[in-house]
Amino acid sequence: MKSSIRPLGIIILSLFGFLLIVSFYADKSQFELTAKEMHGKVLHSGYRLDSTGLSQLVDPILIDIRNERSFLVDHLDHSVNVPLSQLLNDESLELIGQSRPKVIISDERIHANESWMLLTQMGYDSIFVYRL
Amino acid sequence: MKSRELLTVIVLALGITGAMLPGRKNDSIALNEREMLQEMLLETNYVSVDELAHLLISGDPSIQLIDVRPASEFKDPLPRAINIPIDSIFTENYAYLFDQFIKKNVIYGLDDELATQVWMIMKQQGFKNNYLLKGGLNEWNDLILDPPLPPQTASKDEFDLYEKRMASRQFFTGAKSLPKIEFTPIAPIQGRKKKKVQGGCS
Repeated sequence: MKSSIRPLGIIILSLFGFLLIVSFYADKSQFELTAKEMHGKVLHSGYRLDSTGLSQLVDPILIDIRNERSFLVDHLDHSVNVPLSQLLNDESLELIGQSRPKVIISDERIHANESWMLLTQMGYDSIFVYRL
Repeated sequence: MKSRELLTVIVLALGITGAMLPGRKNDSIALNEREMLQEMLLETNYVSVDELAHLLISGDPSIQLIDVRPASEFKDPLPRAINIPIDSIFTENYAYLFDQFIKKNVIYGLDDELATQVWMIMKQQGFKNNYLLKGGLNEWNDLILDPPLPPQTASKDEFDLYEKRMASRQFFTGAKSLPKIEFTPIAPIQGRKKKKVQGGCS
C-alpha cells in the first residue's frame, strides 16, 4: 500500500510546484495601474503640450514616435527617433526611465495618446504629448 | 492507511496555501503591455470617417456608435450614437456594453483624445469588437458634412472621393447636392501646325 502512495505524493507535489512556477512567470504584465486606476488618472491629468508649454519644460527628452522615414524628412531639433513599434525595447525604456521630463512627439494624435497611456500605466511619470 | 491520511492532509494544506497566495496584481488586465502595443499598431482597430460613412449608409445593423464626450458637451452626435461620458464608463454592467460579441462598437469623441483613452482602457481588459474613429467628430464634420473641394490640379481619385463625400453629406444632412463637377483634364498643349511652304519653284 505504502509503495503505491509515495510516487503519487511525489507527482502531486511536483505538479503543485510546476503550477506555482508557471503562474508566477506566465503572462506577467508590467502594468503598475489597473484599468480603473488608469481611468481615474486620465480624468485628472493634462498632458498635452502646446509650443509654449514645450518651451517651458526644463531639459526635456523629445521622443519622436513616427517611423524612420518621416523622421528623416523633418524633425524637431534634439529629438530622438523611437518608432512606435520599438517603444518597449530595452534601450527605449532605459531612455524613458530617466527622471527628466519626456515629450512624445507625433503627427498622429491617436498614437501619441496611446503611447502616453501605455507608458503611464507602466509606472513612468512626467510624460507629455506634443503634436507636430 | 495512515500514510494515505497524511497524503490527504498534505494535499489539503497545499491547496489552502495555494488559494491564499496573492493573485496577479492587476486582475482586471487581460492584455500585457506588449500585447497592447501590438493592438496599437494594428490598422484594423481604427475606422476612418469615410469607412464609417460607408458602413452607416449601407445600413450595417451591427455598428454601435459610442460617444464619449461629457454629457454637457453632447450635441449633434452621429446618427443613433449613445452617450457614455468618459467619466462614467465604469457603470455597473459596463462589460455588457464594451465586450461585444455581435455588435461592433465604434468609439469616438470630439477629437481623438478621449476616445483613445476609453479604447485603451477597454482593450486591455480583453474586451472584443471595439474600434476607434480616426479624427473623431471634428474630422467627420470637416470631411463628410463639409467636404473641401480638391484643387483643380488634384488627381481623378481625389475628385471621386469628393463626389462620394458629397453624396454622404446629402445622406446625412438631407442637403441638396451640389451640381456635379465635371472632371476635365487639362488639354495637352498642341504644337502649331506647320505651314506649308509656299512659293518657290515647283
